[in-house]
Amino acid sequence: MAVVEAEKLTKFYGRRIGIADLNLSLPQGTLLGFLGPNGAGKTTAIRVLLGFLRATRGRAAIFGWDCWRQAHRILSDVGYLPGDLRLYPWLTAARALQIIRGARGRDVQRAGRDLAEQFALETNLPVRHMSRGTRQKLGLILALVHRPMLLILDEPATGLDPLIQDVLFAHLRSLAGQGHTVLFSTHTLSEVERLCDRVAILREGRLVTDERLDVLRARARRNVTLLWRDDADGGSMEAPSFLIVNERNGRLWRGTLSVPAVEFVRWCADKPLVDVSIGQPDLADLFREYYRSAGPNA
Amino acid sequence: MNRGLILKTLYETWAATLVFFLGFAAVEGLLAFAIPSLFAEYGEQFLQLKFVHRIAGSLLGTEISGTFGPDMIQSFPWVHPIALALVWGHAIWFCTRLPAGEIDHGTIDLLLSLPVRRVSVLLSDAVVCMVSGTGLAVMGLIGNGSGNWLANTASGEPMHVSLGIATNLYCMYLGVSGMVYMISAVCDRRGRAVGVSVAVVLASFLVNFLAQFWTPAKAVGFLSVLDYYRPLQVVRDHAWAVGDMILLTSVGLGFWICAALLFRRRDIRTA
Repeated sequence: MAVVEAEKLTKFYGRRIGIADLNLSLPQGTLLGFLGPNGAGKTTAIRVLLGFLRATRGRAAIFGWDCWRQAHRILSDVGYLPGDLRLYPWLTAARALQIIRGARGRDVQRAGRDLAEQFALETNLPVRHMSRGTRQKLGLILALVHRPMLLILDEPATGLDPLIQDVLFAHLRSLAGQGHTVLFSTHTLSEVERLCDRVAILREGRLVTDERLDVLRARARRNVTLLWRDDADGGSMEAPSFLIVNERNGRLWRGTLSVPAVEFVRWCADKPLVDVSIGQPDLADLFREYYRSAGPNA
Repeated sequence: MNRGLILKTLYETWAATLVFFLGFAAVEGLLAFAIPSLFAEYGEQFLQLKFVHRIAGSLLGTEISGTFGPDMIQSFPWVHPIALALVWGHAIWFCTRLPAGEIDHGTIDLLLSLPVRRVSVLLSDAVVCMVSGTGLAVMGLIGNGSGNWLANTASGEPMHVSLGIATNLYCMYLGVSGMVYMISAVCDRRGRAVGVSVAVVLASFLVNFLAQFWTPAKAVGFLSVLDYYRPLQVVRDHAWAVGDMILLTSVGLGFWICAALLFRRRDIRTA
């Protein structure tokens, strides 16, 4: 059974589309990067999944329970970090842990203290005296402290310094390795590349792709550089259809590749080349295309 | 009801509630201390003027015939506009925090991410509200008693009469709280919820005031919450206004149930 299951999930705000016909299925242990431009419907999708919003149409279930009617059951094993985290000014980590213990009915003091130590958070500092990053750390602790089976994190790395980001990502990877599922909403592509094994992209409320990251990598364009034996070779050679040459400078060609590297290598094998370099797949470029249109092939 | 959320509400409200408690006790004490000497100073004649009679009658929620007696002097601190403003102010401040205030400040996400039903979230808040209301009534009693003791004007009213007034005040607090919860349940902005609530209680006060000398207002006087809060009646009859108290509590409960239903069914959007 999938941890998260959404079928034709639709939410309208009056006439405006929040999300439309969203289908999503997350098996246990998935680390999903949830991407999309501003206003794409990521937050709406998350709020419907958490039972904050009632879907106009379609079905959403977490752990097999209906997201609207049984939200309180679902939330006992869900950790959530809102994108625009707001906390009570009087709240300290110590007080928050007391409240969580009372609300969740389980002792989280020790786990909370451990997390506070990992994230270098002072437990008696009230929110009103915290910086943006420190508030984010407290929000993360509140989302992680009960070791939920599903984590829904909206822009979790915002305001965190690189060292704490490393701690967070290591923690998330470790949780995913133990079978916990993570839905990770972000704008930062490098975070997705570092952390996620699957990517879903929303645009104008619709899911435009939902694929494994390695599949997307294979589809992404790569920057390539070719160095011919001499200027004559560089000038006379015809580029194949899968290679877009952006710059011809005597012996030197620079271009982008739209097929798997192995095909390009095969093509290069019988050519009078001195050197070839193939860059990493440019996911940012691919995502930008998804953001702009219905997909890279549209 | 949820222990963690009760704790959260206590953390959030204790300081301001304490200020309301002390303020209300001080106002009650001051009024109970000052009003008898004020009446003595201005003399009988001024107090028998018709318009003064009407204003006093409006505040006390009953028509005054004859002269001012100690029963009226005893009742005044409980109906003084400052005292009412403090009681209503606390109810409005407290009950607009959830859900309107939480949505407005964006903290509702944290609250609703806990595994607690929305009705239970509201109930946990309402329990602390009810306890605070009790505290407010008790502080009124303490303040009033202290003022009387300091002024040396103990009229010899039995304790159960003062307790009857305080309980009636508490029931009024519950009625107003229930209504404010309902207004809060449909608002996304705390300012709007406070504005509407203040407008409703002011209208209620005005209707009760005008009903004493304006017939059209008299016809709708039953809509005013003050129509069911009459300390003078309790002092005169030496009996608790049980009917009024039941009605105020029922209205409060009815509004609260509506608030819970609205809160349970509504979408919680980002502020």
